[in-house]
Amino acid sequence: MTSQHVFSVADYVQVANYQIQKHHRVPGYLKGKTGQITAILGSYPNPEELSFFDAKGDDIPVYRVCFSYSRLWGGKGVNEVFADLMETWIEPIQER
Amino acid sequence: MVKHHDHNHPTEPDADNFIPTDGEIWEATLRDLLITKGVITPSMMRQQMDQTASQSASVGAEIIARAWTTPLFKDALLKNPKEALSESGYDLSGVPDLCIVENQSDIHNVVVCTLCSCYPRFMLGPPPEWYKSAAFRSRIVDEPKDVLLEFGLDLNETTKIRVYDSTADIRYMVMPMRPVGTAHMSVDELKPLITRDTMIGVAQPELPVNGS
Amino acid sequence: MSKSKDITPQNVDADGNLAHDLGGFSSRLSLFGIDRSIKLEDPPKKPYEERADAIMMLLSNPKLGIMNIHAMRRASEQFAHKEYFDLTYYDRWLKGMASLCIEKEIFSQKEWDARIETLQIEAKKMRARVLEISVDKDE
Repeated sequence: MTSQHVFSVADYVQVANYQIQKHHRVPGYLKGKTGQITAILGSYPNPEELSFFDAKGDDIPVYRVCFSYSRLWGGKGVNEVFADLMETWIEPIQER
Repeated sequence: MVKHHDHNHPTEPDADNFIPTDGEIWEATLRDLLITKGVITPSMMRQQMDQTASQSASVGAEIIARAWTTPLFKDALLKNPKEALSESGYDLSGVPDLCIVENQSDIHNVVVCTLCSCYPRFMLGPPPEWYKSAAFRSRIVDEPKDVLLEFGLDLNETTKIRVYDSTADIRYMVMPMRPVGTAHMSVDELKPLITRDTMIGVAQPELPVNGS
Repeated sequence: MSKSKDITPQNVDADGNLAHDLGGFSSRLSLFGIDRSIKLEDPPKKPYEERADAIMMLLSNPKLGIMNIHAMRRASEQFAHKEYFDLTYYDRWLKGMASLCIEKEIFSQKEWDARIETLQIEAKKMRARVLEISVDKDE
């Protein structure tokens, strides 16, 4: 079952900066950072819900997002980090 | 939960002194209780251990070697790995979604799970200790070139390193580049060059020293 | 209703980071005496670690439906920084799985404590027999 997805490949997005303490699959080093969507990976049940035994886990679209080294760590460099993030954790942004 | 005794309890299993570590006690206790409660059976444990023991990087090496020698299979594999594997006769029931990222002359890929230790076990067998270590998980994302150098892989400054952090349900593995000088080699001859480390991305395939 | 104990505030560090969230935080390793360099050696698993791994695979197997990997990760993420680094990889998972079994009422804390104590006593007796020493002797 695939839900409608909001973002498209090549969109620039910013990772939300929620400092929550329950189980979630967004590393701290990506929070608040800007990246570009390179793939739409399909929808998967929400691990934040599934981590509790009595919850069902709604299907949430997951995107592969590319983060340039300079945006993550500053400085120059060609390297990149890719991470797979749920739609609930990314927000649209205009490319600056 | 468990009182942690600091004295007399070794952190290393101590076969000569027969003092179990806390971990050994926890494992035995957990297993005993799970079996007593009928959640698992000793037979399930044995089957699982046998299955794990039989897993290695040979599945990964096989499909990479086939991809190197068969362009149509390579395209299909990169496009939809699970579909290509399924059509090749692999039983993928229970296997997570997979993505294979292709190394190129100016792009080198490496895989990590910074949050825990997610790893393409079906393709590569169980992960090595260093993959699960705090050092690798913390440093590969911000110091990839330095970390790869510790593995003996010296990439030049113009090579773009792409680190794939397995944060969701998709598992990643690397398709290394086929070394120059292997055009004459069959799938069976290529497989030994495609080591587990080349498919995580901390090594590149090398020609055998004796040129066989 | 879930009786899950959620992550408590004292498990985050001064910057609000949880112990398992390691990406980019290698500076944290030195605070806990962890070597930053990559240890290339990959020794074989200790027998109890092979068994712990098997338990992890069984409990997380979706076909068996005993638990799920997300709950197991949640339980593995609940350590304060010091304990996270003090425990070995499999010891963390073992502790996490045990707390989930208690949460899911597969067994009780009392049953867990009692079994631990029984095994420790048995181990002591076995050791005394094998080493031909008195049960209460530690040397």
